[in-house]
Amino acid sequence: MNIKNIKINKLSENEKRIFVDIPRCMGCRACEIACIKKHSWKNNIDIGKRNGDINDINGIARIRIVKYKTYALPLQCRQCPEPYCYFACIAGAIRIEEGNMIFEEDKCTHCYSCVMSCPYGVIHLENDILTPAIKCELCSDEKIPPCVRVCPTRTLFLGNQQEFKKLLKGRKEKCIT
Amino acid sequence: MHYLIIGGCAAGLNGIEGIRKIDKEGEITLISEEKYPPYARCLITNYLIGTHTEEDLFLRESSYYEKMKVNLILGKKVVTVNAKNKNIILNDGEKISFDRMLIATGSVSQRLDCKGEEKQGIFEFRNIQDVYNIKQMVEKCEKAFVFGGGLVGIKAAYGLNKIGVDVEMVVKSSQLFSRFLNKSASNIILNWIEKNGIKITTKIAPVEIYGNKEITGIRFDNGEEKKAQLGIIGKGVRANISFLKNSDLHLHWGVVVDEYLRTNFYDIFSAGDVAETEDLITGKPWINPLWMNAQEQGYIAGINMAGEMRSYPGSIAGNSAEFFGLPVISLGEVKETENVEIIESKDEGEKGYSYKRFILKNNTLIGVVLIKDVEDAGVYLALIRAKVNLQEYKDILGKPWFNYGRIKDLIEIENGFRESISPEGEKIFFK
Repeated sequence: MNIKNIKINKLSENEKRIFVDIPRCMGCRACEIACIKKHSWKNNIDIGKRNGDINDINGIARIRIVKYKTYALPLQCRQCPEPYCYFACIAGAIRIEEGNMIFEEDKCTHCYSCVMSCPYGVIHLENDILTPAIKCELCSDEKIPPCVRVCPTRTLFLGNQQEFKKLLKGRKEKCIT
Repeated sequence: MHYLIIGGCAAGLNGIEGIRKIDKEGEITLISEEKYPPYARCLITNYLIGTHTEEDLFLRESSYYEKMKVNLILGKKVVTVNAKNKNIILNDGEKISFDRMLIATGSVSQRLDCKGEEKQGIFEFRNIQDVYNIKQMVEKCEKAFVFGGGLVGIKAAYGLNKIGVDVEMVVKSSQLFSRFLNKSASNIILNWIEKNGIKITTKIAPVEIYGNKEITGIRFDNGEEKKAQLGIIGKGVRANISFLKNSDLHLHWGVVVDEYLRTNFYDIFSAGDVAETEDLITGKPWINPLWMNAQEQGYIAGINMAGEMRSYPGSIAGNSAEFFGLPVISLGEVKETENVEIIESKDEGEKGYSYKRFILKNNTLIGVVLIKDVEDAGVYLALIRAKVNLQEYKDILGKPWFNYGRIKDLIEIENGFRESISPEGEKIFFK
């Protein structure tokens, strides 16, 4: 694999994020459903989507399963310490505070700058209705984000780099993200 | 250590962030010629429409500057820079010395170059003050003209249209966004904007603006004369370097900087629209006035000012915008030049207006234009930055199934923990 001069930021060790142990994923998409449910109106997946209100950004998953070689790959925000989306945000809606990515929805003006900058393509904006950008915020109101909680194969792991390394100890080949 | 930052916008603000990441104690002074703390200049359209107040535009809460221990000097201009003696002089005569300085004064509007340009009722569309002035005029305005087909011009026209002013755009070149869109893409945008009620006339330029004190009409180079009460200049920008003329700093189009964003004086740095950095694609010195570039440059310059040397990979041309619900993203070199391969797709479906264009040179991606379906634009940007060979990936560019997973191997870091090399065809299970 040849090396490119892309800047991908290393995580500092005490920052939490969702790590992915790719080979474990069987692509069941339980995480997507858990995410939709969590971000649905009244926490109910049936009445969550759209709900007749054009400003309702409910019912859209912040995590999605994509294809990577022969694997399924859960794709969600990597919580980069020096994120491109922060540099791109023209409204000051995306900020970093105490190691956490803060995304202030009220300030978002749907300019698509974050969509333009995210190298993982995990920020979404609906273009027929004017809604704030949608990205994973690690569900800071819960101890463990629902996607991690429901994952039946423990593909998703919430923690910092050291904890994740410990989990993978003894494994020869690693395929993670 | 006394850090001095001239200019209070994207680059200046991120200079503070960068410095404070490394140096928690040093003294920071930020000088801005405007009377407001750093605010989102790109959003002044929203201030014009009325969806945002002045305070909504501010990029940080006022307590932020206290927390960061920043001394704000607002409403004052730097008139002289003494690079050798390390001091500056403000317009009220005050002399401020510094240990390290960041020049982040951004850009100024291009002039219109026609007779009567100084008349009352002709405005730029650059800052809160401009919008405030325009708001005063709007009530008695029946017809407004916007000169220039760049992003500033369109945003101004969009804003005026939204508040109910009859507005017409006058563009000298044959297309909109001549700087960052190709012809066919700009035609799509042009049709869309006209459909939404803004008239656009191309290949025409004003030659005279008449009226006593205030403007009453405009004469164009095709002989036509039209009545107008308001004119807005949106003809692009140039670097704001006039105050540096006698400063011994190396100037070209902007302030010339090296890969660490240092000027020819190693204690003076420059970032943002005023700094002439390397272009990521061509490798030549260039100014790419873009918010994203300015913030990143300011941040890296700040880190370098505080003593940690980090190189800046290069700025990228492009922009993203949304007009009447139609998003447009342009990245890199999008015009047709020699030895390029173009992959283009157009969807003239029910909703229409969907357009994708990829420009490849030697099998590496150098430019992208996306209209309407802009999802995963950042992944394309990552490919442009990475300069990888895409020979085997050409057929998936622009397809609905294109996403990060498809090109993960191309842009990951070797042996890094974050993006480790995956074993091809090997079974991986726990021991």
